[in-house]
Formats: sequence, C-alpha cells, structure tokens
Amino acid sequence: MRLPMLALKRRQWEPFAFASPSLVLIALVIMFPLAYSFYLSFLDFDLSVGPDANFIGARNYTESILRDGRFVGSIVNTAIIIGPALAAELVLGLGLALLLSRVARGRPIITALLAIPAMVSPVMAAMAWRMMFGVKYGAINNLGLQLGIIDVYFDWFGSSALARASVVLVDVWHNTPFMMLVLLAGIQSIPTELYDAARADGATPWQSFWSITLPLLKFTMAVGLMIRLIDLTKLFGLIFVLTYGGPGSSTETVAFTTYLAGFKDFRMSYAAALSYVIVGGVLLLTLLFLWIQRLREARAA
Amino acid sequence: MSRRARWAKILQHVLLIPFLVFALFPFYHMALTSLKQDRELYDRFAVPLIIKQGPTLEHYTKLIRETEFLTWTKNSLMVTILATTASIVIGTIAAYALSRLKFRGVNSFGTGIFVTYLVPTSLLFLPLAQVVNWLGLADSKWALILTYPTFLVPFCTWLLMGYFRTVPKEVEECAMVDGATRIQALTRIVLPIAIPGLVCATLFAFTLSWNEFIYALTFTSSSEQITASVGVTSELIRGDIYFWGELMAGAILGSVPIVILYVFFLDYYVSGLTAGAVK
Repeated sequence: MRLPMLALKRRQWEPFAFASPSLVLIALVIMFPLAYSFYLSFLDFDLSVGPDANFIGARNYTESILRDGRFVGSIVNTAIIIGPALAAELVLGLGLALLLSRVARGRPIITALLAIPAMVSPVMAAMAWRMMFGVKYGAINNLGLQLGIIDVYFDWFGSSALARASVVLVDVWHNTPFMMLVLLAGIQSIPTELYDAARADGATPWQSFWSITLPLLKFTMAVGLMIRLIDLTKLFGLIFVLTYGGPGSSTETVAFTTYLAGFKDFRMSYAAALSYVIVGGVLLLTLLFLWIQRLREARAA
Repeated sequence: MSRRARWAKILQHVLLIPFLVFALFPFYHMALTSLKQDRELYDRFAVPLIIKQGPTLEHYTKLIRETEFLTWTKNSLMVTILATTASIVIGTIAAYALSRLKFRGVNSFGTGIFVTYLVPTSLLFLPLAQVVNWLGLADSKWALILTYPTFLVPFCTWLLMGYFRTVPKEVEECAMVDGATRIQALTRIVLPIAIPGLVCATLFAFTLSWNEFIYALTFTSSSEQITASVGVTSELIRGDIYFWGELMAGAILGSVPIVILYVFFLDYYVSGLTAGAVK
C-alpha cells in the first residue's frame, strides 16, 4: 500500500520541479521583450540623440497614426501586397494539391521538386528573382528583347504598381509550396470511403469536390491562410533585397518601416510604438478572420 | 485501364509541367549564372538560357579566395548548430511539461507560446538589441546564438507538444509504477516514440536559423562575425553594383545543403506542417 502513496506524492511536486526551469526561461523570453517594448514605447529614447530618455506618454502612438504618412502608407502597402499574394497562394496551392492527390505515378518526387522554392531563405529567393528582373543583363529583359517581345530595357521595379506586383510574384513563388503541402496533407486525411460512397450514388467529380473535399478542407485552409497572413505581416527579407522599399516608398511594408525607424533613424522608442500598433492590427485581423469564419459556419448550419 | 482514364492520367502530368518549370527555373538560372564566364554574363546578346562559351568555376574560386565566404559559412554553421541544439533541449522539456503535467495555467501558457508567433519581429528584437549591448555582445556571433532561441524555443515547444500528446500516457504510467523516474520515463519511453517529432523540430529549427536574416543584419556587421546570408548580400552588392556570378555562387552554396536535407526529410517536414497546422 505504501508504494502507490509515494508515487502519488511524487506526482504532486514533480511536475513543478520538472517544468519550472524551462517554463521560467520561456516566460522570460516571451514576457521580457513584450513588457520592455511596451515600456519603451512611452519614452522618447533615441540613440542618435543620446542614452537619456523621458516619459512622453502616448505621443509616439499619436504620431505614428496621425502624423506619420510613411508609416500609414506602409500599412496600405502591406495590405496591397497581402491581398493578392494570399489569394494566389490559396488558389494555386489548392489546385496543385488537388492535382498531386490524383497523380499516381511519381508523386513523392514531383511533390519534392515543387516544394523546393519554400526551402530557400527569402533573401536567396529575392536575389534569384532580382537578377532575372535586372534592367541590363537580366534574363527576362534580354530574352524579351532577343525574341522581340519588348523593345526597350524595361525597369520592372520602375513604377510602384510593377514593383508591388513583382513582390507579390516572388512571394507567391516562394510560399505557394507551403500552402500546397498543408492542403495536400489535408486532402489525404479525408477518408476515401466518402468518395467511393459519393460515386456509388452517382455524384460527378465536380459535385464530390464541392460537397466533400471543400467542406472537409475548410479548417486546414483557414489555418494555412492564417499562418501565411501572419508571415506576410512580417515581410522583410524579400523587400530588403528585391526593392529596398522603393521606388519611393511604395513597397515599404510595416516590418520594413519599423526596421528603418529603429535601426536607421535609431528612434528605438518610436519603433517600439510602431510595433505595438502592428500588434493591434494583426490581432484585429486575426479576430476579424475568426469572426468571418464563425459567421460563415453559422450561416451554413 | 480505359483509354479515357489513361488520357486523364497523362493530362494530370502535363498540367503539372508549367508549375514545375515556374518552381525550378530560378534555380536553373542561378546555377547557370554562377557557372557563366563574365564576358558571356554581361553580354546583352547572349542567350540567357544556356551557356555557350563554356562553363567556368571562377566565380566559386573568387568567392572562396577573395571574400570571407568560408568564415561566413563557418559562422552560420556554428550559430545554427548551437542555437538549434539549445532550443531542442529546452523545447523538449517544456513541451513535455506542458503536454503531460497538469497544473494551473498550463493552457494559457500554451496560448502564450502561440502568441509570440503573432507579434512582429521588431517587438522582440528592439529589447534584445538592448540586452545584447548590455552584455557587450554587439557585433558578435554570440549575440545570435543567444537570441535565436528566443524564437526557436517557443516554436519547438509548440511543435513538440503536438507529438507528445500522441504518446499514450498509460505507457509512461506503467513504467513509473515499475519504479522509473520521470526523467527515465521521458528519455526511455516518450522520446523514442516521439523521434519523428524531434527530427521535424530539429529540421525546422535548423532551417529557421540558417535562413534567418533580420537579427543577423542588426546584431552583426563586421566581416568576421556575419553569417552567410548577410555576408552575401552586404559584401557582394556594392551600391548599385551586383557581383552576380559570385552572388549566385554564394546563394547556391548556401541553399544546396538545406534543399538536400529537405528532399530527404520531406515526409517529416509535411508531418510537422500537419502537426502544427492540421491538429
């Protein structure tokens, strides 16, 4: 009788002893930066002025939203890039996943080949495309001229619309494989009996796609979209190499402006405030996303 | 097989071809550029899709002899291996604690870990820049080894929690009734079952730190301390001049190890995505 009692006692203190070092570490790693940034955002700490800082209340926040045209512009830019990129990644990813799920021969190797773009870093991806889009000696211009499709050396990053489109194109190239792999895994987890039953009842492939695949894939799609949405709000490396925010400031994303504020202008406090404005935005977007999701489900039910 | 079914099969493969070309062409072009002689590379009338004047390794030899590329790669390797190892160890213990042990606040802790993924990178690295300065680690690769775990540990913990939950609790309890300690239960029973999860977390952590850019860009700057991704972009692009041959050689050498790793471990990668995304 004593042994189980001992085991029980051990069970009560052991969890804490076991968990505390790593959990304290994680808590520190999460809590410290969040809290310190929050504190920083109410000061006027500016490394280019000096190490002294004063408490200035919410002035950084009001400046960022009301008077900083560049930051507000970067929110608009981020939105303009996120919309088409997310849509294209979802549609292409879904299409590829559906195609791949039907391919019987050579599926692993084709999947691996299609997934390669997602493995390289954003910086390397941007570099490869930067070169192809180069004004002189770029593959696209050279080939276009030689084939007579274009008649001048075209600057693909020359106008804001083209530069944004190029950023979207590179991001779609880089991240569609992620969506494809997530959705492929989702499709493969749908039991095949459902399709067999539908076929036995005389459903066309189109019908079984709409009434089996899509509804059962909804959750996977939502999670994939959400991860991509969050990633896109952090878009930095790709911009840094591909356009450096240009032309003008038309491809400056929120992450890029915050980086400039903190590490080019050395306005640490202001950059912290910008970060918190972004957090607010991302939270709002996530909640909106979940709300729409719930609304849709309510309507469906 | 009916004729129609066979045509459908062929059509599926044919439909995939444009996507394969789109996905792989940039890599082909990278490899091509890195192997082209400069006079062909900077010739407007040369066809960009093939090498006509003979391949050369001069960009690779230049990259290795005339730049600090080997040092950058060594730095990348050191930072990646140390940060990954530390994160996996801490993440494993934390994930085990969170998935097995029932105590108050365990759920909000899990949510908190996910929240770190939501917040912008700048929110984390502004304070970390201060810490790095206080510790006197400015412009040192040790700053990276210290700061990478701040995003790797939450990520590994989150991923591994999913795997540990799939290991039935009863197996461990049996062992513990038989006199095994908690640590023995973890190392002898749970970890061997969760090996796919560990491989997956290692793979993700390795890639995340190998490909990391923004921390490396802000915390290090001198040629002896920077990692490969920063070195290639900061020292092979001088103002408006791009040393394309060397840049692409660097990009190829920096990406090939990761790509090979993934092609071998693609199943683990996918299972990690689904553990994180689908469950």
